[in-house]
Amino acid sequence: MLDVHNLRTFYRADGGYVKAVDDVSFHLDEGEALGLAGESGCGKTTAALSIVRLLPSNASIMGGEVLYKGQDIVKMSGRKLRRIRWKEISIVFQGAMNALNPVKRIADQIAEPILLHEKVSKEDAFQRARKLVEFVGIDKARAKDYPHEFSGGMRQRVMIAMALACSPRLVILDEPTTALDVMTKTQIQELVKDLQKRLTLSTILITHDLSVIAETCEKVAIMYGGQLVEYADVVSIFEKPLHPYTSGLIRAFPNIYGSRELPLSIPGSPPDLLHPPDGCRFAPRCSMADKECSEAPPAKTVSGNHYVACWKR
Amino acid sequence: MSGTLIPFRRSLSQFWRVYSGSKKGVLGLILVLFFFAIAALAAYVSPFDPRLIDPGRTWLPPNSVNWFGTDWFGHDLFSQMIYGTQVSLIVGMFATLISIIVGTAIGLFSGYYSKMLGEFLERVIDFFLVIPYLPLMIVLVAIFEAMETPIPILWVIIFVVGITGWSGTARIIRSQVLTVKERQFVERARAVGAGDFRIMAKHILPNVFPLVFANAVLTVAGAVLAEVTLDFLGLGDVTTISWGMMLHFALSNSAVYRGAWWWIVPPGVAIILLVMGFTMIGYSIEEISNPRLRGRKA
Amino acid sequence: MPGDPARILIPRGHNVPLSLIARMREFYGLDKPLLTQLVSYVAQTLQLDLGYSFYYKAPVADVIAAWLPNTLLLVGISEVIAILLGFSTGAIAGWRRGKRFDIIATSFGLTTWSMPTFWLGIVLIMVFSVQLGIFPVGGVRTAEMAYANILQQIGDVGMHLILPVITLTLVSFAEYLMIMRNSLVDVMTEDFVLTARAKGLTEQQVLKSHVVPNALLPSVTTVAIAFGFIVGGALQTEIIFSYPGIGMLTYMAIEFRDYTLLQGLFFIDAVLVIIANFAADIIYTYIDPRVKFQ
Repeated sequence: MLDVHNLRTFYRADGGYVKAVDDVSFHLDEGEALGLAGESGCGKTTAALSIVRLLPSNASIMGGEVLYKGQDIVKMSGRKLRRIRWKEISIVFQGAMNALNPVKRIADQIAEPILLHEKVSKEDAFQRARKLVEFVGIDKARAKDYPHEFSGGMRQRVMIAMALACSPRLVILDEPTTALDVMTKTQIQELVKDLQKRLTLSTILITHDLSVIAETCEKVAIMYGGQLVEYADVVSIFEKPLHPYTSGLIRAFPNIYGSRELPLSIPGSPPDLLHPPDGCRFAPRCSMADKECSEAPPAKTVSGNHYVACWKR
Repeated sequence: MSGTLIPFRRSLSQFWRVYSGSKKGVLGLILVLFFFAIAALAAYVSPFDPRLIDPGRTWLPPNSVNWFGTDWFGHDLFSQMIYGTQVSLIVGMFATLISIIVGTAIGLFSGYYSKMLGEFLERVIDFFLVIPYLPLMIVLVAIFEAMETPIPILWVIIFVVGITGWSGTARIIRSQVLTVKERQFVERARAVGAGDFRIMAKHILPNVFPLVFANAVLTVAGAVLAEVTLDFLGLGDVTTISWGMMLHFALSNSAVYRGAWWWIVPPGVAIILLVMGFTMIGYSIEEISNPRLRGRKA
Repeated sequence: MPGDPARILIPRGHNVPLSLIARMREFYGLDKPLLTQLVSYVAQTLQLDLGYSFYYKAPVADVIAAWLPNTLLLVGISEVIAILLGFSTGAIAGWRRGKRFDIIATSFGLTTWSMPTFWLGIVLIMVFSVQLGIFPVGGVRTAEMAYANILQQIGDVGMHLILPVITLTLVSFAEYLMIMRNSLVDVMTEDFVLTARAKGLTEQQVLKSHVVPNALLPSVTTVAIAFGFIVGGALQTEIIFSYPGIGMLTYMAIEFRDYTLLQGLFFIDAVLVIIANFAADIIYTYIDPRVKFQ
């Protein structure tokens, strides 16, 4: 359903381009749940926003294609693109952000895309909005309230309800649980899993928190320094991480059953995407790196349905 | 305190780098420096003594001798324009100095002492912010004149303009103080036993500085306009050469009906350019200190 | 207040017996202690008795009431136009930040804001009244003119109003332009604007539906603060155009040391300012759901 080929999205900066997304490719089937993981600044949000071309004015897609049901979004006209937005692909932003308009009622904001994309009466649109609010576990009567009257967790639910308004085929969730406390986090995760089951939705879940991915995703793509470094199903990623960065990420999580030691963090810091190194971008921090890794960008080797971009595997 | 000097100098050069990229800021700076230069070099640049009367050459439109023409007494208007720069700049700067000092003091106290005193001062600030400034200034000048003090009128004007313009600064300082007060390092400083003034000077002021500077520059713009208006209304010293006074005499001698546009337009244009210059500088500094105004997230 | 009013009323140079002065002072209550004067003034004010004007030989309240409507007309029309013009231009300028419209609009606004109000008035008179003879030079109506019907009256007053309104509007609108532009630029960086775009709304829809309603919030507060400047501008405009409003009245009251009139005028100013601020507060509670009326 969704095919991203060699996507390149750069930001214009003083002195060149910040290569936030540099040659990223992946594939998503109907009903699949993909997790896009990586640390802050690795380009995962930029990659996801590029799918619907929701980029700020200083960023642009420099190459590659984003094929949605066969059509290339990158080359699409503005009008076609706007018709796809929300109706086919919607986004759930972090509810803790100011992602909801503070001066409009929740029902208005949920009904807005419905009225935009579908020929329904205002009555019907608001009916549906109220139903969606209920669907995500909020009392229907609160649909006429304003965003500031909700807690962070509830605003996240509202964002989810809003994203489902036009029954999209794909929902992108950008750090949906990051700013929430653990209890609420679990609730939201449960909600997402529930929705994935009930509606045949494809989801792309972006996060730096591998535990969320473990709970909710089938496939995982690990990004580092603007590039895709490993891709596999969720079980393989956790049981047999092939890329040293992935294993580093997993090791960095304290294991409740493991020994009582400080988790190992990955030494060093992420690469400067304005002037990224020539070879493997993880090489400076990798314990297995050698001359081979600093020469050419690594090819992706295949092990079954498990892709990894590393010379050493 | 030497620890604060070096980063200050570095941030100054950093600031200049950004500032010089702003077209608005550079243009404003050029305008202002231009007028400062003229004011300083007035004696050398001016072709005639501005007070020189020439009864044979009155009401002349611009010509090869009098580039801006002459007025009803035969004064060379070009020379008057040049000397007029001095008054505008002097009053503008000194009045602003008063406004800033008063405004900063009141703003600091109002923000820092949040209980009774702070609340009361806030009301005072708001009150002075909204009362019509022009009638107030006129009345104050009238009071001074009636008191027949020996203080030269120029300083009266400076004082009056300064004393009516402090509320904008006070408001900004107050809100900044309130914000900074919340921050932790002030708590820590107090825990260590630092006195109130020390905290204010060392911690709050440096953070507040860029905004205050922007506000100060904008205040100068306002002060120049105020001074011009007061002079025009005849409240200033009628013996001084200032743009406002030029317009005052123009109007009282029916320059409008005699079509003497050369007496009316140049002073106005000069005022516009000077005020614009300061305003542009002020806006630039504001934009730089507040990243959101540049359209990007902070 | 300096300048014994009793002395001023009496033409200079005449030798007046002290007893007459004393009696005048008694009439105007000037002989009572200052505090008593203040208290009785406040009491009178609350009963809407603003005292008696020295110069006009009429109750202050009457004098002001006669002149106030003209000012309300002038300021009302000017400010409404200035706000509409300023806000709409500012919104577009902010939306097209850095582009040609923004640069032209802000430069123009900057120029008119930097103009002394009285100077603009003078220039307009020079061009349109004296040289071209299109508009009358001052006042609010043609003297001694009998109106055949209401339309003629509106037409005559209208002609007199055009130049003063243009003057006041041009100088005020820049402030509104800048505040709307800046708050718009601010709002555009907010996350909900991204959400709105993600929904598939056109840029125009995003602007109208999401950006402007939020940008209005700080703009409304500024309007109230701008009021102090408006009065100053109105004063200058009225003086230049000999427009019979309370600005002109204030000027004359100062000229002739008519203190009771002046006090009354300041009082009215204060009242108007309070009303304006109050109105702004109420409007604000309507447009921002986060704020409840207190």
